[in-house]
Amino acid sequence: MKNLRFTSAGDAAAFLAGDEKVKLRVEEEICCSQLVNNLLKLRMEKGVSQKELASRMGCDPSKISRMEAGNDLQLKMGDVMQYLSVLDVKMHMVFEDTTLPVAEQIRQHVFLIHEKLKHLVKLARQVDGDEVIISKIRVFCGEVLLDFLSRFSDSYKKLSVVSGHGTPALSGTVKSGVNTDSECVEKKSSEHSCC
Amino acid sequence: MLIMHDKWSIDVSFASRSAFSQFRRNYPREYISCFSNLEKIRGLLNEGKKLAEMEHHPSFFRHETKGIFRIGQSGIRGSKESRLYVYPCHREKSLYILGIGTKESQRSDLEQAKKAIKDLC
Repeated sequence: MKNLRFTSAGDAAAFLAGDEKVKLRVEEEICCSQLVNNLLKLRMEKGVSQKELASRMGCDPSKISRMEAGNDLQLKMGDVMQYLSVLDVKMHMVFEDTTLPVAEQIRQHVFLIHEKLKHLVKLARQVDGDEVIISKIRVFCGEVLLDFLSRFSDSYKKLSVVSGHGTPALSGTVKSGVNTDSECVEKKSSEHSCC
Repeated sequence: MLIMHDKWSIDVSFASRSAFSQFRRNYPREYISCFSNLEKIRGLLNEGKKLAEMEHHPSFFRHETKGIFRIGQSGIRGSKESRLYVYPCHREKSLYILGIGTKESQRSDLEQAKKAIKDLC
């Protein structure tokens, strides 16, 4: 018997149906279930049953079952907020205006990263006094910064290739050693946003 | 695309293409939904979730017998109760697709699925 293995349900569905269009349909359906999937994963990670969650939300377990069995378009905003709230999970929303100029969109992404790093500092303050955790956060921040600069450099190079502006000066900075000074990062961010 | 993968893969060696093709013609929405749900299960397995903790958690995923699980359709109004039969093999990290059918044909579908897994794992 032939060994027929696939790495996605869409590929398998298309193969069995004998129709390539099926793959796209399955992928669209999966795409419409990202939020539902995340809710389900969160609940399972916290080891909370549907019944328990329903009890915390003050609703019937069948409501939880319906939420998790549907897709994102069928979810109600209020239900999602309540679902996350009783699991002690905060929700952040990001609005991306795709009609903005690319430079402005890039700028917004950089600000978003900056906000995340500020949140990390806030978390570090929460454990103020615990030297072990703080030193681990410092190490982690360093790693994140190194990784960020490396990725930033790669993206910047790709951007230059796309725009045809040649090799950017920034790549040399990353290769020759990372300056973890925040001013340096801010300077690079502003350079990036101006391109 | 036929490749071996580090993560959980989907094996269709035991599935009848004609049966799946016919089911898809009769119940196209349910067919898509079942496979979309299969991908959700694969995603959970890839994240290290255990089958025991997954059973009944997504309501469309149930253990039937002898390690065979069924994945149902979901989120479709007025849909036909459908069942996609799979056999997860931990050793190979493979989800074997065994068959597909409706609630009405589940008895015979399950019998066929049981026969198929005799040679497995």
